[in-house]
Amino acid sequence: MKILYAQDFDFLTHPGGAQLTDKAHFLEGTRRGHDLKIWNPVAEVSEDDLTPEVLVIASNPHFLPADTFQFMLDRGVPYVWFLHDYLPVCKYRLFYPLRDSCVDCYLKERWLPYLLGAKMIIWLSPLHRDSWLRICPELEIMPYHLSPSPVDPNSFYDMGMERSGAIAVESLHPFKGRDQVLKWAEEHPEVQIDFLGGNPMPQIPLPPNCKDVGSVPGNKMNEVYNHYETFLHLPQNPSPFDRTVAEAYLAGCKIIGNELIGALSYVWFSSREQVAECCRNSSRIFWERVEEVFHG
Amino acid sequence: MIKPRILFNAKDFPGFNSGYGIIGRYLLPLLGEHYGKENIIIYAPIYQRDTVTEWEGMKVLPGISWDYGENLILEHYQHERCNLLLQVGDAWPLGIVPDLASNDEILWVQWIPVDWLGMPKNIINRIRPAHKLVPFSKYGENSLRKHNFTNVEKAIWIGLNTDLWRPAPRDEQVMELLGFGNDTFNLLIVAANQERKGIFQQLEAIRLLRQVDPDIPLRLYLHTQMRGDRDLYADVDELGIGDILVYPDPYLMKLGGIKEEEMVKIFNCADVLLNVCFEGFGISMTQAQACGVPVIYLLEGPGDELVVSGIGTTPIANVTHPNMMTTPLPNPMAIAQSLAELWKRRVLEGVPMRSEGATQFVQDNLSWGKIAEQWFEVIDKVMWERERYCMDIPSPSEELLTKAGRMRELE
Repeated sequence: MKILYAQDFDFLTHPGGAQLTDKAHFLEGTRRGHDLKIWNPVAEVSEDDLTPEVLVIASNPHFLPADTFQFMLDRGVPYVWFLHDYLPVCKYRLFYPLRDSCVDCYLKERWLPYLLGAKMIIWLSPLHRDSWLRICPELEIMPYHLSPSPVDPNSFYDMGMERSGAIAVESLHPFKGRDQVLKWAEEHPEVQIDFLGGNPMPQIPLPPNCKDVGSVPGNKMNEVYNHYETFLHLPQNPSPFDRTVAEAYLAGCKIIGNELIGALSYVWFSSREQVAECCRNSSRIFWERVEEVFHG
Repeated sequence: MIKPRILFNAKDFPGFNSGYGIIGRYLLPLLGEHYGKENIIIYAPIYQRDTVTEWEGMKVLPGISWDYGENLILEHYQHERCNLLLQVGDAWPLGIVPDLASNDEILWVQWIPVDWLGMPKNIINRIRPAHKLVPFSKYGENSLRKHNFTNVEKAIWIGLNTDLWRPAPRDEQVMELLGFGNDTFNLLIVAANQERKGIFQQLEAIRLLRQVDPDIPLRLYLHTQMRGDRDLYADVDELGIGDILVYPDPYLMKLGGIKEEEMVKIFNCADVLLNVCFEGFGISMTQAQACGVPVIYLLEGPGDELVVSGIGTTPIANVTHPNMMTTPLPNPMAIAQSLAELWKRRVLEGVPMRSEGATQFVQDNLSWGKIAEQWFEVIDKVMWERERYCMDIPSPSEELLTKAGRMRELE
């Protein structure tokens, strides 16, 4: 299959959760023999490249305007939406507030026809899809696939180290649930919590049992998780998946979360074996579904 | 709808006797009444430089910069948790505000005079980032629309205290102070001493009229600061019209000018107001019309839409200033001809010319209550857009907060 994989960044080199997912899927796609080409703001694609014989995977491409989707529809170019957050119907992406007024959002008016024009929509979790359907119930009829973030169980596993306390990753960012997690910390003064991944409000003092420990490279994360008994994550917006939850769980941490974590909305997210199985096979199943849709 | 919390920025303090001061004086209490005084924050740095104070129950913030006091504008906006900057003033001194608006750091609405011809690039770049441009006049609205601005709202005129500004019999004491007589042709000019006000060309017109018809018993009250952009003492001397001229005590003008109540009396003593310059609005024209006094104005700018009784004069040429703004120059000969025409009518009628139509027009259209209603519409629309287009990061719904509080634990 000839495939254009549209993403905002060069996901082969750019760090970030969505890019890790795209990278894994892209590499799996090439392994399966597909003719894959990256389409991003740097690697542009000409109109001549957009033909009905090419499948476009629109992986949250902020850089593609609605006109491009109209062009693809007009020319009969098949495309699949691979949604990583709440773009293009919520400009605040992960801050998606699930308000009644979201149903009438002007962005929905603009983008719904292009979502309905897709061959399939791929969401990251049941929670992700449910939250989308609250804004766009019209999408309920669409062929879809739920694709967990690919996490390699060989990279995240229990190393049998001595553990204590709790770790939270990026939880000091408001949309990741800063208020909730700090409230939990105050209610559990006996638990020492280390915050990894930055603090956007360093001027506000943290509770005494909380510590901002900065950042570590991705390849050190398994070792980091293995120092902690608990992984704490309490988002206040519906997170599409949250790969750190799967990583920490596979690394042996106990999870303290809430109902807004996409990963926890999968029924199979109840044993480490099942999580390992589903996250390991995510890319393979992703392509099986895409191929199925493309070949009709 | 999101409730507006407005940072109102005009350069002059509302108590000050200038156009911008008057706007604040009358509009702010009405905005305060409508949206709550606690939601109106005044930032008018001229004459309000060092202290936080209060005016009519509304907070007034200090500033230390001339023009718009932009050095503090973002800090005031953020600190006071404002969601709308309503700025009143010229386009050309705008510095930091367009950048702040472009970066979505402020939501900016500009009530703006359009007193230039064409559309120089530096002006386009300054005013394009405004969420809304509300011109002072329909002339300004048309000009902006002609140049393809898409952020233009319907013009809102500057209001007038229509209870105060009404026709009244001439006050003999004031007549005497102004050097006016009941049989003389009493000319009035009320203008800041700025080059753009065309005072020199209007004085030259008076000299021309005297030269052509020395029998016309001209008198002039020139309400301005005699030293400003021009040295008007020198101009008057040069033109030889000092014998018919009265001007206010310069010290009194430095102290903030003359009260509006007194200005109404002055206008009611005049036979004609000369306001022949390219205006963004021209408050003195509507003040004269409110009293029924005819106006000689420039046929470029908003004169035609504001003057019911009077004569429009064509400009003589255009001049481009160093900031690339082009303005028309008044034609002294055309002004002199208009004055002669009005004197003829004055002689025919035997009494000062007064227009009921002009008075009615002002009463019908320019009360501050009417102007404020138009502002409420604009502000409500902007707030609706703020919500509709999600300009603020929305807080999570109650449903999400409930779900966020429902814990899940996994061993």
